Amino acid sequence: MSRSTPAVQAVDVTKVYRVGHQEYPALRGVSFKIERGELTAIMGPSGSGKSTLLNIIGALDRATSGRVFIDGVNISKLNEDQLALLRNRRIGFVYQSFNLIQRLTSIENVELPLISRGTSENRRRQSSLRLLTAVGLASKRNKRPTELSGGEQQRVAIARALVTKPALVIADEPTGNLDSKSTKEVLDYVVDVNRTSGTTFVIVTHNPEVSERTHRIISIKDGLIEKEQYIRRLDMYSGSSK
Amino acid sequence: MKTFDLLKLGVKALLDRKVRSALTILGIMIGSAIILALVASTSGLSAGVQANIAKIGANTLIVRAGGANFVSGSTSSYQLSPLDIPILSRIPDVISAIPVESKGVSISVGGQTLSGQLFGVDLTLLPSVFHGITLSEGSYPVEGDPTAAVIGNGVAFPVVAGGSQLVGVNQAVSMTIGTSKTSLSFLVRGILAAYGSALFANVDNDIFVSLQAAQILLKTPYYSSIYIAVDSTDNVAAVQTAIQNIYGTQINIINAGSIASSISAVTTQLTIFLGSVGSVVLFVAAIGIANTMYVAVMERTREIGILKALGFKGAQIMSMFLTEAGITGVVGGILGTGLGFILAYGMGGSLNFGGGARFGGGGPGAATPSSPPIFSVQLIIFSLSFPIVMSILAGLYPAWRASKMNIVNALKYE
Repeated sequence: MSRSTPAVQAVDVTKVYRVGHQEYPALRGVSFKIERGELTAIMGPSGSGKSTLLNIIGALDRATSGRVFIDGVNISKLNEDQLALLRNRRIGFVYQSFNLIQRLTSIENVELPLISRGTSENRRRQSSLRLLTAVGLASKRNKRPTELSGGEQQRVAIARALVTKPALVIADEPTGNLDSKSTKEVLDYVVDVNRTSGTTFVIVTHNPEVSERTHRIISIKDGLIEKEQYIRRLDMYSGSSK
Repeated sequence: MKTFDLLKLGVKALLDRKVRSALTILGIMIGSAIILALVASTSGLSAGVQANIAKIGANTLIVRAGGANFVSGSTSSYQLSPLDIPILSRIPDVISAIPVESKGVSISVGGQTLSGQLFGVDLTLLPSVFHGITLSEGSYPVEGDPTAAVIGNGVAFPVVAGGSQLVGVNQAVSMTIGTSKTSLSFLVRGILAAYGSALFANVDNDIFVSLQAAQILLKTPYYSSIYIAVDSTDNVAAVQTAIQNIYGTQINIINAGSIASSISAVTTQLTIFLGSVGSVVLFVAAIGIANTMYVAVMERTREIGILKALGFKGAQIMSMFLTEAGITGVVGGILGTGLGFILAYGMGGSLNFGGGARFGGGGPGAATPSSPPIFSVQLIIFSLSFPIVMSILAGLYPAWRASKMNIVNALKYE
């Protein structure tokens, strides 16, 4: 795959929800590209279709029409097992509500994606511990989510998203349930990972604190892209405000 | 996904809801235990019955004198006598016709009174009447000695005396017949090894004397029964028919082999029935598993969405839930098999065919249980594996549902 292949490309993507005889168009024909290594924010009012778009480019849902390419692969043509494999190998997920499994410890949550692909226990533990150390939570590896703060849980979730070294991380309101201190900690880490490893991030957010630290903001309204705003060049990054 | 990780995740999920898992396992355990205990106990009962009848022999017919005929409903006053021995002996395929005179008596020994039988027979032919019978002490009396006897092991070592020996060789044992107050004494020449019962004879509680002595004591020239040995079980029916043709309804014929076959058929049906009862219990427990798994899948909808988002395939999700169901079956099956062993021995200890043979204490002739449960390899394998199969089948639909969940909807589930 050449460097010019975008991490994500959507071509005229639509999504229509059918409830009985009623149709609800969530996306009306969305086209865009996200380059490798970009930190992109998707913003828009409630009901604009931003979460629907995120689910489609994250291979969690299928478009009604149009094409979606992840790392050059047309995911519209993949079956469920192939999509599962894609999610496991190429995509990481971070959610507003963290979505950790409560009965598992931090390290067990982080290593879950590696269990699916059959990685040995030793290697899983090493990789998971490395990520937990990177997010500053090595000492809490045996704690369950109920024993962690919101910010700590989100950092565990980020570690889980990165443990498979994905090319793309999808984050849906990752700071929505965090206080300002935790928000800054999470953002700092995301920006650092983006800068050092070149991982592409697509973040749905309402929070300008988040969007102003990205490379680009895609604004969506009523299922269509309203505008795209570049905040900084891909090869330039400052640590805080512009 | 490695099998070990699958098992670990399954165990963790079950431990996360301990009470619910324990109750589900309990249902499986009870079903498995019931199957094992009932089938093993009836197998033991059947084997005990067969062994009991085998002591007489499946190729033995017992001709009994007079009395009511259960088949014809008539009553006969015919008496068996020495005249019948050559008649019966001449029937083709008959090896021997051994006359016996017996009557119920009260036996006094060591201050204890026991109910038993005075059994008069040619003592040299005693092993032909009761197959496998042996002496544990002493010897058989000389033929024709009216004062000597061989006693059953339960007379020498009565259960009422805790199995202690109350009479030995060359000591006296006395008895009374019916309501007579006259006591008759015999010198014990031999003590039989513990034997249990054989069809209608409770050998351990009997006194064996020569036929002549019994006839003198009982003041009768007749016989209460004649034991007919047939050369082969294939010829028993023909001999029985021949005897019936000769005597009609004047006598009763007891066909030990036929009784054994009938009892075997009954116990087989009983085993099937009781096994079915246990299977129904297990089936109900499996429905419990299906319900538990269904509820678990609903409760863990969001978790299923998370796992799918992380890249777990539908088949892997299904395997996880089936593993949980399987573990429930494995644990329930193992515990149920253990409980089944305990229940079977508990039931077998109270099963006692033929009367008289009981757990005894002390003495070389202490009685052993007549119907211990029988645990065949097939039964144990079935008891261990059937719960697993039922549990996995019960978990199939909920596991399938989990594998087909829509990820986006699952992630939104509260």
